[in-house]
Amino acid sequence: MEDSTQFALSEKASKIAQAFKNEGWFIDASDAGVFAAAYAVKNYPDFNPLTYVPHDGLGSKYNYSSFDPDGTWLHFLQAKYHTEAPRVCMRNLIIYGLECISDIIEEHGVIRISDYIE
Amino acid sequence: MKNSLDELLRVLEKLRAENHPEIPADVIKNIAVIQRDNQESVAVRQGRLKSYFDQITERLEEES
Amino acid sequence: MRFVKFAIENFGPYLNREEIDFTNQNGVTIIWADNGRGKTTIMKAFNFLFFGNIESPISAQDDYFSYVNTQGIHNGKYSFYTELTLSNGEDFYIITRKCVPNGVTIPECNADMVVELYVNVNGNILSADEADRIVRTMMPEEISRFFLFDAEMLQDYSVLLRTDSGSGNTIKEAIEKILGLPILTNGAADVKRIRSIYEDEENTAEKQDKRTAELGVQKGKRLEDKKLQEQELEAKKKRQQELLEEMHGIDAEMQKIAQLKILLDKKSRIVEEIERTKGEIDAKKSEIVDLLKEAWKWLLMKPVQDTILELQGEVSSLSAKQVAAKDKKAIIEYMRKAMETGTCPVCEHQVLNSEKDYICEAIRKIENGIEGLCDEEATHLQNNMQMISRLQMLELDEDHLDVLLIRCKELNGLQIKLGDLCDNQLSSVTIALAGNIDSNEDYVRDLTRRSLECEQKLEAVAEGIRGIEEEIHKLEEIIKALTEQIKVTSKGTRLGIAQAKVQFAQGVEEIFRDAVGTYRDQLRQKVEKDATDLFLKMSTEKDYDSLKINNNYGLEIMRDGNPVPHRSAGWEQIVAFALIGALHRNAPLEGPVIMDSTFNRYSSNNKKKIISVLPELSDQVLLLANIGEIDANTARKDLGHMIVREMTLNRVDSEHTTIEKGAE
Repeated sequence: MEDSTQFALSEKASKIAQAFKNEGWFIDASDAGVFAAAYAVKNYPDFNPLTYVPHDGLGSKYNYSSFDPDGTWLHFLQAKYHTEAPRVCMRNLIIYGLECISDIIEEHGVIRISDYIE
Repeated sequence: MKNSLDELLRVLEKLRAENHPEIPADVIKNIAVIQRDNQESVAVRQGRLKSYFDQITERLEEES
Repeated sequence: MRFVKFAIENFGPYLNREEIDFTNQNGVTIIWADNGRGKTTIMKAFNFLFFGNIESPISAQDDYFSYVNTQGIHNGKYSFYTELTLSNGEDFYIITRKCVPNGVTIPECNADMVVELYVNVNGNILSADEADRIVRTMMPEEISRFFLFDAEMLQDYSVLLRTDSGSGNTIKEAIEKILGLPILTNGAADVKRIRSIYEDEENTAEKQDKRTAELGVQKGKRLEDKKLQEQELEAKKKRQQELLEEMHGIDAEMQKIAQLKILLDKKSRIVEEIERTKGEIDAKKSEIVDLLKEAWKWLLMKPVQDTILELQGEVSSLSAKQVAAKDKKAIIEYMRKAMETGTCPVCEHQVLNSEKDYICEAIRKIENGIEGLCDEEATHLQNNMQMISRLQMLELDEDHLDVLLIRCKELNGLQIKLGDLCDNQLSSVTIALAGNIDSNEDYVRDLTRRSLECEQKLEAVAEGIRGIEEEIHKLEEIIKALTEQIKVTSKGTRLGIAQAKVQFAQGVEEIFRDAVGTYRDQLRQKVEKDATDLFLKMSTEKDYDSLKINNNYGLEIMRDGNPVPHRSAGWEQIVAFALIGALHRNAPLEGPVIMDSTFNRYSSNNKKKIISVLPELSDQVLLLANIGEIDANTARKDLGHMIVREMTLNRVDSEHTTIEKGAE
């Protein structure tokens, strides 16, 4: 897998990230993405970002540094997945995490933020 | 319940017996019946009552 | 009066002729139905039959055309009718009221319809006027509330508590009408009129008798004066009634204003509370947003720790391997040195020639067993150690996690509170306000002025009435004195007869007049007693010990000798039932009680008690029961054999309901 510093989210992921921003939970949609990626890592240990293929790339485009300005994620992802493409891993975690949250909201209605943290 | 006049007649009879025993009991009862049966039409009721009173008072005249 | 059968056709959802059979037994007929199946339409059908109005006995703006069944219209059937078969003593009545097209083939609106009434008594059809009179006599509009009970019209009963209200007075007169009091009040008034005629005849005789002529003339003048005074008194009482009704209207408007003010204040408070809550929500959210910025770190904490552990595991095993290889190399080095120098560098043993072969063999064996790290492993080990180092340097902690969770909980509470304020409290006060009149200040001032003026006028009229009554009393005393004088003087037969007639009429008048007060008090006591009896059977509140009646037959709930203020709609309804039952027990005008959907205000225990008392309200009770409000099996158990019939409203489709015998 080739790494990339620029990528696009899926349409679905982009929508939910924007919705979080619009509802005021995050200042930027990218903050929502980072939160979702952490949510995915914690709650879906079987998810493999190395093999995941997003449904589409029709969502908003971002620079990797929007999500990981200090390289924390870079180090973590390299360590956890032993990958030379940590940025693409990040993208996949963000997309997967956001889409999972979207599915949960669709099924159960709006859930409290605390439900994602606990 | 529920005879419309029983209770009412009891009250009337008690007052008659106590205060006006000279007035016959059936007179009071008949007046109450005229009232009950002619509630809706004032003119008819008053007319019937006057006729009844005239009958009674005619009897009084004859007796005197 | 007993209902035998009620029929309805093409009215509301009742497309075909549907009948309710009341049977000839005393007890409760229950019609079961879900919401929206046509229970209230049955009530409306009774309103239409008795009063020609549909929405309520007094509604005047009914759109009859809108009640024609839609499918009926589609099938070319434009009329609807209601028909009641009943018995009253030995007479048998069939009352039919129908709404039919008024001279048009296909009606399109209300103006194209006309209402017709037919009454058949023992096989004879009455004239229109007589039919109307009979129906009004059977079910006077002002007492309909004691036969057709609509739980949405509780103010009709609560107004009785106000002894100064015009409405209360009207209903009181209606109740006394049911109880037979007009027999006495009209009796006294009618006999008084006759006495007056006899007094005139007496006075004529007095004037004609020479011995009593002068006194007769004087008395005649007083009698004339008294008549004038009585006419004046009647006019003033009529005026008093008008003013009372005007006062009632003003009171009603004032109540609305007062109510409006209360509602406006309430709305204002709610709006303030909403703004305050929104502010708190914004502040809370702002805190949460700040905390959420770092939330991903808390989420990542465990995965990072797990990764570190995993890496440390790999590092451990690689390091162990590396250390093992290093140790073996050191041993080989020592052995080689021993071979070269002849002395062991560790223990300084002198190496013998015979031992050199052994040492060589050992060196060869150890060399063969060395498994050091390959380049890849060495790189991996180094990388892992670097990664561990980096990961350990990441600043991830759960410092503010608890705080965030608390704030989230607080936010949730505030959002629930906001929801309740907006969706429930504000919504209900807005709906209540929508029914109120405009309350600009000028209007309120004008209302206050009118109320004051009306009060002053009432006082003046009351004063006038008192004055006239005193004057009449004085005249009566004078007339009495003159009559006594005349009696002493006169000896004529003609005069004696006239006097006897007056005395006779006076005696009868007194009896009827005194009976009014006595009977009224007795009735009130009986109604109070019977209503208390029924109330205590229905009540679940042990603290409430009785009902107390006022002059208007309004009933107050008493607790330890004091009236219970501000009773809820539920208690208002129970008191209304108690009054209805008590009136039916004591009234000469009897008839069935019809009740629509009355139980949504009550707990299951309350419902049980009320249902048990239903047979005591009247000989015939028709209950239109909502299946969701009453449990059918419990009702059957509680009422037992007092249920004389059960029927069900069966929905064929949205425009067609049938009435089926039996329960669902």
